[in-house]
Amino acid sequence: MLCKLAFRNVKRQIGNELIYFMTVAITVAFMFAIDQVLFNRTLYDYAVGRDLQGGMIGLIVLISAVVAFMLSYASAFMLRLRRREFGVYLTCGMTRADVLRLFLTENLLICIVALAVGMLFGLFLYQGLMGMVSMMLEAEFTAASYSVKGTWFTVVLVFLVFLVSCLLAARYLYRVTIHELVKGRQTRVKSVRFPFVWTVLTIGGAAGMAAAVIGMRSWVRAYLSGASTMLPLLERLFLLFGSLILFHFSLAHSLMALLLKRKRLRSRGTNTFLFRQLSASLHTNAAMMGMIACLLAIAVIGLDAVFMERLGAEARLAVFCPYDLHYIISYDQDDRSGRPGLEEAKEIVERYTAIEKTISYTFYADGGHALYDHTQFSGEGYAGIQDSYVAVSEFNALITPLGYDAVELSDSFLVVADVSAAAQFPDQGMTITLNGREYHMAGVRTDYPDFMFRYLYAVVPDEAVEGMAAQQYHEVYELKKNDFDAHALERDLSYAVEYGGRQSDSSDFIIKEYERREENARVAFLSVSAMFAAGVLLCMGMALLALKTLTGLAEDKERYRVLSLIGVGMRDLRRVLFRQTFFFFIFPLILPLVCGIPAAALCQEILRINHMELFVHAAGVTAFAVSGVILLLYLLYYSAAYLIAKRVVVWEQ
Amino acid sequence: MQTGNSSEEILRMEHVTKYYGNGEAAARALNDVSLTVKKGEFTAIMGASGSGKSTLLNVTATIDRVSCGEIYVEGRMISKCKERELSDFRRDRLGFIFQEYNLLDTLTVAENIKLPLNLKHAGVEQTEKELRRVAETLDIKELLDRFPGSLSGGQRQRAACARAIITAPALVLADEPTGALDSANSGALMRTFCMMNSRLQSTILMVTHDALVGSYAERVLFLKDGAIWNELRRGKREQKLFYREILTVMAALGGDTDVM
Ligand SMILES: Nc1ncnc2c1ncn2[C@@H]1O[C@H](COP(=O)(O)OP(=O)(O)O)[C@@H](O)[C@H]1O
Ligand SMILES: [Mg+2]
Repeated sequence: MLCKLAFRNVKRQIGNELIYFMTVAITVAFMFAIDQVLFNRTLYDYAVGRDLQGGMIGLIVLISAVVAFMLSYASAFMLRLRRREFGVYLTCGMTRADVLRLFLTENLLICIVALAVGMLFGLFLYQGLMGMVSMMLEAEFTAASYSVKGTWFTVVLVFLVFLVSCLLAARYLYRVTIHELVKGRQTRVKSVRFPFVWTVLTIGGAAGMAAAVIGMRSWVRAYLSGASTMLPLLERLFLLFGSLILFHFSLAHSLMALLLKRKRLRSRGTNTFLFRQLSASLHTNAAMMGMIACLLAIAVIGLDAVFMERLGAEARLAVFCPYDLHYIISYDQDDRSGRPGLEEAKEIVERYTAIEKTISYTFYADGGHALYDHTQFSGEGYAGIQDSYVAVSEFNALITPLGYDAVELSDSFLVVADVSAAAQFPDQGMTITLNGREYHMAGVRTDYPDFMFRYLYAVVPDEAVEGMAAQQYHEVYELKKNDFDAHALERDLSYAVEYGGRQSDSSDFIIKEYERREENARVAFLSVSAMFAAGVLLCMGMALLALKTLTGLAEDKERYRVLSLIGVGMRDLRRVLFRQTFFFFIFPLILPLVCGIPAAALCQEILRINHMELFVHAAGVTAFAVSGVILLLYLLYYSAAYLIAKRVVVWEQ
Repeated sequence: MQTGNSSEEILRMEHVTKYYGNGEAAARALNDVSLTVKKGEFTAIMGASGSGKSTLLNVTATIDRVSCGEIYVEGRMISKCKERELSDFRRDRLGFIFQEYNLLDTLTVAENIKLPLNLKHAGVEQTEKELRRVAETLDIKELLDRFPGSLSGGQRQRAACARAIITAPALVLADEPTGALDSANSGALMRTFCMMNSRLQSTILMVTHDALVGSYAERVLFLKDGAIWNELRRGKREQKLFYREILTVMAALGGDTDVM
C-alpha cells in the first residue's frame, strides 16, 4: 500500500523528482567513474612509483565529500519542497512514522534506480576517463577491467549518505509542527532596498576583480624575474574570488532594481513581470549565486591553469632537452672516480637505438666572474661562482641544426643568460679581456634552449678560449628512433653514488623521451584530477540552480496562469519563461567564463616571457575550448531544466 | 464605449453545451445555455456549487472551449477563434477579477494595474494617465507602490478591479470575487462594482453563490445542472427586496445552496 502510494507520488511529481533523480544519477556516475579509476591497481602502482598516491587518496576524499554534500543537500531540499504535502498527510491522520516511511520509500526507490542508471553512465565515463589517462600517460592500461572495490566503495558511500539523510529527515519530521508544514515559510516579496548602495558594491566587486587580475599580471613578471614568492599570488586569488562573490551578491540585488528604473524598457510587454520575477529570485538566492560563480570560476581557472601547465611542460621540454640525448660532465663539481665511462654508456644506448649524430662542445673558465657581477648571483654566498665561455664554432654547430641563425662575432662576445640572470644585465658597453685581448659585448640573448644548465655564459671567438681550463664537457645526440623503453634506458645509464652518506641514483645523461614521459605522467594526473573536480563543481552548481528553479515552479505556475488570463499568448508565455529561467541559470556563469580570458592572457604572457611563442596560440585555443565545453555542458543541463519548467508551467495551463 | 453600434449586445451565447471528459465518463457541465448580455448591464450568475457557473464564465473568458454552440462577444464569434487570436482578444476586450491569486505577488500594485496596457504596448504617458484615473476612481492611490502581499483582501480585490478596467474592456468577468472576503469587504467591493457599472459603464458578468452579493446586480441568472433555470431582474426595486426574492428562488432551486 505504502509502496504503491510512493510509486504514484514519484510518478506524479515527475518534474521535481526528475531533477532530483538527475542530480543523484550524475553525481553517482562521477563518483563511480573516479572510484574505478582510483581503485585501478595498475594505475595505483603507477602513482605510487611517483609519489602521487597521496594526491589520489586526497581526490577520493574530496570527491566523496562533494558527493555526500550534494546528495544530502538534494534530499533535504526535496523534503522541504514537499512540506505542504506532508502537512496534508498529517492532518488527514497519517502518523509521522507513516509519512517518514513514505518519504524514505520514495527516496530509496529513486536512489536505487539513480544508482543503477548512474553506474551505467559511469561505466562509459570510466572508459572515457581511462582512455584519456592512458593516452596522456602513454602507457597501456587494461581499460576494460573494473574494480570490485571501487564499485563497492561507490555503493556503500551512496547508501551511507542516504542513511544520514534519512536520519536528518526523520529528525526534521518528528520535530516540525503540522502548522509549520502546512503554512510553510511565507516569502513576502519586497522591493530591493538601497539599490544605490548595492550598485556601489557591485562596482566595488568589479574593481576588486580588475585589481586582482592586474595584480596577478605584475606578480607574474616579478615572479619570473625571481623577485617574488608565491604568497602574493594567493593573496590575489583570494581577492579575485572574494570580489567575484561580492560582485554577484550585490549585482543580484542591484541589476533588476536598475532595470526597473528604466521606464520605457520596463513598460514594454511583459518586461516588468520578467524583471520582478528575476529580482525576487536573484534577491533570495544572492548568496548562492555568489557561491556558484566562485565554484565555476575555480573550475574554469583551474582547468585553464592545468592545461596551460601541459603546454608549458611541452615548451619546457623543448628548452630543456633540445636534443634526444644529452651527456654532461662538470669537471669543477663532480668526483669522476668509479663512474662508467662515456664509451661504455654509448654502448648501452646503442642496445636501444642507433645514434645518428653527435655534437660535442666544451665550456671553459678562467676563474673570473665579471659577467656574474652584473647579476643577482654575485657577492656574498656566490663566492665560488665562475664565468663560463664557449667557442663560437662549437656553439654554432649546436644551434644551427635547431633552426637558429649562426652567431657571428668580431672581437666581441655574446652573453647567453636565462631570464632571471638577464634581468639586470646591461645591454652593451661592457668589455672583457681574455688571453690578453679585449672583447666588447655584442648583446644578451635569452631565447636559446638550455645547453649548460647554469645561469649564464658567454659565446666568444675560438681563439679566446685557447689554453683555458675546461669546466664542462657536453655531447648531444640525435637518435634513430624515440619509442624505445626510456625507463629501462634511464635505469641502465644510472649508477649509485654516495651523497652525504646516503646512496642515491645518478646519471650523466638526460634522456628526452624519459623526461617527456615523466612530465606527461605528472601533468596527466593533474589534468585528469582537475577535469574531474571541475566536472563535479560544474554539476553541483547546475544542480543547485535547477533545484532552486524547481522550487519556484509551483508559484510560478500560478503567476503564468494569471498572465495567460490577462491575454499573454502561449508563445509569449514560453518566451518569458525561457528568459526568466535562462537568465537565472546563466547569471553566475558569465563572469567565470570570462575569467578564462585573463587566465589565458596571463599564461600567454608567461609563455612569451619564456620565449615559448610557439605555444602562445595553442594557449588561447585551449582556454577558449575550456570555456566552450563548460558552456556546452551548462546549456545541456539548462535545456533539461527548461523543458521540465515549460511542461509544469506552460503546458498545464 | 466602442463598436457594437449595430446592436447593443456585448455577449450572446447560443445553445452552448460543454462536456468534460469523453465517452461514457463524459460529464455535462453546461446544457444548451443561451443568453445575451447587453452593453452596460451588471449580470450575476447564481446556482449551487457544481451547477456550471465557473464553466460558463470560463468558456466566455476563452480559457476553456465549448463542446457545441456558439459564443459571440461584440458580434465576433469567439468559440471558433485560434489560440493566438484568443489571447489578444482577452488582452484587448476582457477584464478579469477572480477569487484568489488575481494579482501577481512579485509586482507592485501599480505594476499589476499597468500590465494589461504594457501588453498592448501603450505609451508610457498614456499608461500613467490611465493608472491615475482608475486609481482615483477606485480610491487606491495610497496602495500603488505596495506589494499585494502586504494588502488586505478587500484592498487586493480593488486593485484587481483597477487592473480589470484599465483597458476599458467590453466585458468584465468576475468569478466569486467576494469568495475570500468578509461581509463588510464584500459589501464594499460590490459597491465598487456598482460604481464601475454606473460611472464607467462597465459591462459586468459576475458569478457568485452569495444571495446578498447577487442582489447588487441588475439581473440574476440561475443555473441548475448546467442549464438556465430562472432569471430575475431588479428593475426599480430596493436591494433588500431583491435580496429576499433571490433567496426565495434559491430555496425553490434546492440543492446544497448555502443560504446565509
Ligand atoms: N476540469 C474539469 N474536468 C472535469 N469535470 C469538471 C471540470 N471542471 C468542472 N467540472 C465539472 O463540471 C461541473 C460544473 O463545475 P463548475 O462550473 O466548476 O461549477 P460551479 O462553479 O458552479 O461550482 C461540475 O460537476 C464539475 O465536477
Ligand atoms: Mg466555481
